[in-house]
Amino acid sequence: MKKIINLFLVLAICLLSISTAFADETKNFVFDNAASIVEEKEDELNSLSQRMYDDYGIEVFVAVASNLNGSISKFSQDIFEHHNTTDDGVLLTIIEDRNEAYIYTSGRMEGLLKEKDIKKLIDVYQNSISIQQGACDVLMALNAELEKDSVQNIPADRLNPRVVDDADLLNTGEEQALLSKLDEISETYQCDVAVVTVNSLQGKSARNFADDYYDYNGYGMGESDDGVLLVISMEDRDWYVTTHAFGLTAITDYGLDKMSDKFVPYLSDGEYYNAFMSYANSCEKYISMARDGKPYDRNTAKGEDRKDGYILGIVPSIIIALIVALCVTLKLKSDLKSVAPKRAAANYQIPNSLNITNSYETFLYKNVRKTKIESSSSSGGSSSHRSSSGRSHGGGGGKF
Amino acid sequence: MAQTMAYKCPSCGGELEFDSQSQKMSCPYCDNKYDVESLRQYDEVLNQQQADNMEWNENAGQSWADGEMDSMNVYICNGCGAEIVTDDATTGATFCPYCNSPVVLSGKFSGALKPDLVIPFALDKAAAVASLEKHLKGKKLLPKAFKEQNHIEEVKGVYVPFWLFDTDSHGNVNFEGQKVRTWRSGNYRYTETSHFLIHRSGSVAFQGVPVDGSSKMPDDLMESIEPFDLSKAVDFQTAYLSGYLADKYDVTAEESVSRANARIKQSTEDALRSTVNGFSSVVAKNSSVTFSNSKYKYALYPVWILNTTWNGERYLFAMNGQTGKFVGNLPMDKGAFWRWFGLTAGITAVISYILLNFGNYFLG
Repeated sequence: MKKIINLFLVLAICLLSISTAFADETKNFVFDNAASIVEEKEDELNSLSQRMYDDYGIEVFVAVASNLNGSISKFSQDIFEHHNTTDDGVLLTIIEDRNEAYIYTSGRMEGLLKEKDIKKLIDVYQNSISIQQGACDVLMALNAELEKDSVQNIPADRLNPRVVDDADLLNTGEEQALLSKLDEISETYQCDVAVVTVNSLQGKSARNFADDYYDYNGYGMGESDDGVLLVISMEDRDWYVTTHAFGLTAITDYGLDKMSDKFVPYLSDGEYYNAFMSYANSCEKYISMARDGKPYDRNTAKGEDRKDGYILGIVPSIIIALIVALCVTLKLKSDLKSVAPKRAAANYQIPNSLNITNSYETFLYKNVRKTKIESSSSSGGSSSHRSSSGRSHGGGGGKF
Repeated sequence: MAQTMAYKCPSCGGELEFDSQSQKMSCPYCDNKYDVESLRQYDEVLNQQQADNMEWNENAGQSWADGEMDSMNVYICNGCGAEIVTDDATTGATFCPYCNSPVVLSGKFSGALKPDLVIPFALDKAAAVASLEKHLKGKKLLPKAFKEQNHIEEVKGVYVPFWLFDTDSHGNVNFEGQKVRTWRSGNYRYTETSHFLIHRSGSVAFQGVPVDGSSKMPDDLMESIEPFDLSKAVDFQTAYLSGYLADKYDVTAEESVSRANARIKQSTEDALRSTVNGFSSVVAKNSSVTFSNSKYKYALYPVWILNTTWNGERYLFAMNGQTGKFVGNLPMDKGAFWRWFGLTAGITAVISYILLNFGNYFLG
């Protein structure tokens, strides 16, 4: 008996500690006192709010009450101040019996959402078919607003030169030569090609650092901010190529593979200038091909890798030729041979004399084997992801 | 007295233990579980494994009637020791059909058994010659000189002695069969293999399984010109020998028996195997064969023979004197072999190179 009680206590303590950990992870942004929102919709609203919180640092709450005595704005303020953990936030209040909606803003959101924006959001709510759908629609509209806004944090013009050598890997002459090369390529093809070297990624992952550096320093030419940026971090010897807009089109996954095969060995050997020049040349080639309408990719590469492809192509041809020739000649050789002992006496079996007297089949055992199916790799193109700014970036990286 | 029996696992051979949870016998090594009844059957079948019992009753051949042997002469070959028999009228027996050495008349034929059966020659010498020429045609690696230098005229008609075996064969064969089933679920492919013990017992009748009774005549050559159609066989008369040579048997029936046994056993297993259907793989584990009503006969079969020497090697060709089937290994021209090899390799290399590297241009 004692043992059981002890076990129970231990389990309870474990569960409690675990649940508090969980509590932090999934915040609740929805307070439904009118029971108007079903569980699935509530989960959907919570995940939308969670995403906005993760991406932009804004808390978006939804509160539903069946009726209200008093002013809705005071009510909303009270609820918000009761639940918020940051200054920047939005609260959507819905009073069920009046079918009234109210939007309360705080902190950064006060400045972001003007009166007309708030009116637009209320209209979105009123135009929807139900309370829960309305809440969803408003949250999605908010998300779009936040995304638009974050984009505006991105400078229109490039703040830094195309070569930034904070890690001091190049001497003055090399830096000059590289800069003029990159400037030339960028201007010719109207697509930024840049190199940045740093000593540390400041705690960010190589991908995030590169994407953010590109976005918040205004890299990219033209309306879409087309460009490619190579970031080298000496702290953990990371390299990362980030691409945006046309840069994403021009540098495909296949192209990035081939390009990095060429310049990463230089990085490993400490020949930074050669590495960057190789990077620049590859970018030039890929961007010009993309401008011609045929980005360098798995299926278009054949024509380009002229020298390597044609020489390597000899080897499989030779192997096939040898195998075919062997088959043909061995067949001709066997034509010469016609003498062999007989294996059995089938010709002397009296027809229909086969008589089965006993036959049975007994099941013994079975075993099952399970193998994982590898999904085939994509046949081309560029993979992309969203950076913290909300913009779509491509590229990849590694270590040297 | 208690008897302890240990069952062995059919999959890995480990000793099985009874698993009370599943009520089956379980193998601690490979984790397979077996039904107790299936195991008992399997074990019984294994223990029942009998030895082959292939016996033959001696009753072949007849004795010569008086006067029959008078007209038959025996010739001895100096080169290989073959004993050739023919009748008085035939003067063609001057060279040994096996080694081309001259033969010498040694006297009248005597002793030995009289053949039970003979299949008379159905095809004449012209047919044999034509067959030889056809055999040489179209062989790309045959040395050109060979075609010119062979001695076609020297083809001889010889009656080759055979022992013919008849029997009813009873076979017990055990097979292991597998059935495979595959399916996909999620990201995995599942393959289920079920193992079965398959048993077949049955009987098959055989008639006229031939074994070459002449040590001079290569067995594989004689087997290659099979089959002979026994329905055309007749009782032996000395008259059939006229114009042809005959070889006396020098391999006894007892010595030929093992070859007949091997072929009949194989055919019996094949016949039983043919009744097993529905499995993805079937492998014979053990078999035992017993004969009943077995007997053998002594027969003479017609064969046209030509032997040639070329480049120091002897080449023997044979044609079935009844069906016309022509066999004989031919020499190979090494030069021609490598010429063909090089040419084929060259052309294939060029074509495959073009297709591999420029194929997309053709295909668009």
